[in-house]
Amino acid sequence: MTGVLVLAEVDSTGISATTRELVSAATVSNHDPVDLLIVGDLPADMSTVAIEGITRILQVPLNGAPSTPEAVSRAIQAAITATESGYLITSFTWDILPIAPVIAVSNDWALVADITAVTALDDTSLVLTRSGYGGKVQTDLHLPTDSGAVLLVRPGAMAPAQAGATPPVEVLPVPVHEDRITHIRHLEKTSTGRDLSGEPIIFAVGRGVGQENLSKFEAVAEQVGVGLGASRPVVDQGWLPHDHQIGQSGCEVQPSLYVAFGISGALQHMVGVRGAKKIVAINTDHNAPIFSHADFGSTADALTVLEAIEAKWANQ
Amino acid sequence: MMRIVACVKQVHSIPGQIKFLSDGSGIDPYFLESGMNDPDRYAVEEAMRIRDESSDSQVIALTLGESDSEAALREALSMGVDRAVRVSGNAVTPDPMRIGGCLADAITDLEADVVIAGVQSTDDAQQVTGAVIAAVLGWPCIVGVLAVVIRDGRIEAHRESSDGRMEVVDTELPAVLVVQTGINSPRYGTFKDKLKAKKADIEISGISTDSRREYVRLMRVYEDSPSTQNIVLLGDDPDEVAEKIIDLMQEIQR
Repeated sequence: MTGVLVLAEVDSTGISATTRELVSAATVSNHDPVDLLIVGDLPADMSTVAIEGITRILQVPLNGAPSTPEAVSRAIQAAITATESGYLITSFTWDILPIAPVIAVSNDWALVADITAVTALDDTSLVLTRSGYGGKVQTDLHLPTDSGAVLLVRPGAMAPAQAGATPPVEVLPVPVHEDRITHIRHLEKTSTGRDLSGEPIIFAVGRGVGQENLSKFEAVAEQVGVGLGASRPVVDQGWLPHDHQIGQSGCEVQPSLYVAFGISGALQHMVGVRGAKKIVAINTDHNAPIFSHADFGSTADALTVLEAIEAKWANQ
Repeated sequence: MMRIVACVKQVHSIPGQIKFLSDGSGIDPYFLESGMNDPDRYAVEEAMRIRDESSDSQVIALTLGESDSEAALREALSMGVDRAVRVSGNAVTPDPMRIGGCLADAITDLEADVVIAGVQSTDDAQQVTGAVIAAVLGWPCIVGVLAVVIRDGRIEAHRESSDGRMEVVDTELPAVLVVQTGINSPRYGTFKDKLKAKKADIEISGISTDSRREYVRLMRVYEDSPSTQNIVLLGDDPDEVAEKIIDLMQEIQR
């Protein structure tokens, strides 16, 4: 059996909780060893890398070079070559999209994105579960364990691995090559509204509320003093400016209360509200995927509920 | 001549109710609605915008699928692309290495200079096909493009970065651009355009899915039962729902 590389997500506090979910996915099959790959600097708090099931920490330092998709791809490939690993497991995120295919193609491996479960079928095959059609359909895919693969796992889908002993760190040489894509600059955000990331309460609207009712939602959000968020389609249609967008390519929020009006709850939106403490979903489609993420749910008409909130708020 | 390939996919969407085929191989087609994948409309529109702003350019819409997928190509033709090419084969298994590999092989045959793909399909939503094409071709790939200028063999693009900021990047042709929805306002063909597209020629690529191996095998397709065991149902009386929301708000503001 060949080894598995788990790509660590390092943030200011250390290794992300999501990384521990990836380790769970990696230890389903009896591949050995399971190595944690850190591209760039080691985390300030090394206690977070003490995860059960990890054999080694492999570090490819970038020596101060920017972590562009091309640089990260080269670093991952160098680690695969050095360890002769047969699998790469990473989170399914926006940043991994240009990287994962390069690894799959370089090694002629399978590539499966947005995996919600990994199950060992028998000694020779794995079952990868993923969803489709906006979360309404599940698909099981068969992958022979001896064929290599890049597996992109949906954040939050698997239970995190337990804490364990601190594994030894091996430092691998940094591959040097020039990027073909040059970063020129970042454009500063042209903010028109409030920054949603610090809002304790957010009302968010999806395409389901209808363009003609948007001004009503804006007015009530203002009146009751909450932030107004939106799903991607609302922003794409130009109904609201881009800085209202919550989700994979918009902002991530951590409100105490998130009220979703007419939002179906596609994964690309839900990753943006992972940090919400309570979610209330209002959607007339009782099959909408948002209900599997919500703490409270109603199939009432979104606009009518909003008008009831407005009336009650005015009377108290 | 600059050849721009726009990748399109014929997708199904699911209304409220669905039924699965008893053998687990898919969804009963009676319950599906079909059309061109919505994010691909932005790819087609952007390809045509680039064509119209440069002299001597051509847009080729490219798809992979059985003959029913030609509907997406005809939609692209009615929008105004110059040519439409189909790679024949089964696109049902979500195997982006096989599908992207076959599309890349067809793109090599078409001698393209730029490939434009949509950010995701609304059915499988793996979000990787465009980048697989780039990796197979060995071309640079820019993901999440919201503005693009092509000049003197170089591309300058604005892309969405994961922190929500816009990043300006530069690369050289040939390249793959994965465009984000909202980059433009895709046009719809008129009735007359659609009639014309119905009769237009669709080229069949020399590449088929037999050209590349299978990386994963489809075992089973089934309904995702929403895990609603932890959800508190508030019913559908708007007043009661509003009451509960205000209670929750006041708990926080207290």
